[in-house]
Amino acid sequence: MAILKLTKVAFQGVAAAVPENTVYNADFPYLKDKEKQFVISNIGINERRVAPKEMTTADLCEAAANRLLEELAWKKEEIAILVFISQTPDYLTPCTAGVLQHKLGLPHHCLAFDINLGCSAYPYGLSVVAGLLSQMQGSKALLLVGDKSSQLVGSQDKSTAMLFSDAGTATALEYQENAPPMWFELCSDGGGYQSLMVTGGGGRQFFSEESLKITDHGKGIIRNELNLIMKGLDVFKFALKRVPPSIRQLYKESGVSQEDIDYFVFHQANKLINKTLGKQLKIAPEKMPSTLARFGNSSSASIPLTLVDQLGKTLDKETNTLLFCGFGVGLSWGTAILEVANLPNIPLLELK
Amino acid sequence: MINLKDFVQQIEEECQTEDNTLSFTPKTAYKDIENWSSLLALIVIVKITDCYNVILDEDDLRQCDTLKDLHALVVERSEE
Repeated sequence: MAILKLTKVAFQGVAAAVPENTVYNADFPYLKDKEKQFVISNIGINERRVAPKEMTTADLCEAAANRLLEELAWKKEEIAILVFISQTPDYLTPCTAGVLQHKLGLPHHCLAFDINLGCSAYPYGLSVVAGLLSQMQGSKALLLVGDKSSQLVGSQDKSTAMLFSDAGTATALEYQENAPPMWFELCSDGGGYQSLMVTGGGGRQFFSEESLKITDHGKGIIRNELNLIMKGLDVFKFALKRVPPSIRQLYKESGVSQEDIDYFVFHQANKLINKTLGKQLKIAPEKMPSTLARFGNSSSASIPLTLVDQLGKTLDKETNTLLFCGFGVGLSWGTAILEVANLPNIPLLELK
Repeated sequence: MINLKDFVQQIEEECQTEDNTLSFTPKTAYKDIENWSSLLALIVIVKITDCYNVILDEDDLRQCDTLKDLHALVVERSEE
């Protein structure tokens, strides 16, 4: 069982960047007004951020990282770990973390690599970075997590086009002898790999002219092989079946009870899923902050983006116990429980 | 035991249109209504999860043509 207790690592801050360009679901051209209103009220997403063509996930993460380092007054020389998690890297190869190490001006003795994960990226990423850092006395680390989902989503695909939003985030972690433990439960079920996927452009289905052929799959689902396929009902069943037991397991292993948690920051999938999960777990809605209305489903970035946008002013004052839960593409899911104190309140960055 | 009449009414409420024209019976082929969509399917599944703690998926809905079929499946699962 992938249950981890990691010590000697402190969560020191988080920053997030979104494109300034805002798209309103009310303007979605491929649904009738009545149907559109029905969709908007049920998924709970009014606005989304869509990055211009030349702006990548890495650009959003880079801006967030620079702002975070400035706020913490960290010297770049001190950063020993850079991990970038995304499904929308700059290149097929090399990894984006290396490019960012250079662009951010981080030293050559900084280790850097990418991880390919989506909605579960944040708990997974924190565990990887904290695991390394706990063995690196005196070191500091950056975890960069984000996605430009707009480059994957078919603009005419009714099943995905109104959901996703672009964002990039940066999280700072530091070796600290007396830091409170971080707890993780990390899981995967590759049997569900087809529930959320892009079939074309990879090794299995190499890019060809066919990749760009637009196919009508009926019921308002029009896309090509490079677009994201989402089987919404499968994802919903997966989330409901897997997430509550995972969280309860971590309570049991860590000895932290639900009452001890100040905020539950969940991946922002859609209102129906998140509301149902909250109900199943009997979590008070005011303890489950949401950014769905303004930033939709920002994939891997949704948890840190929600931290910045919704809890920035709360987390800069006192000590809070937080639970993060990410679930989705893979299928992959993970929960983290950690304590944070006096984080800098860094307002959300909006990039032109 | 899950009452069939209540069940039909609950699903009707979830699927109801603004002009209130839907009237469901156990024989209603709920997936044939005009406003049926994958999102509405999700809403029905959420309702069933909330009320009966039974989590259905797309395949389950596919094999249930009428509300009576759907009710029978929910009863069966809730007893498992």
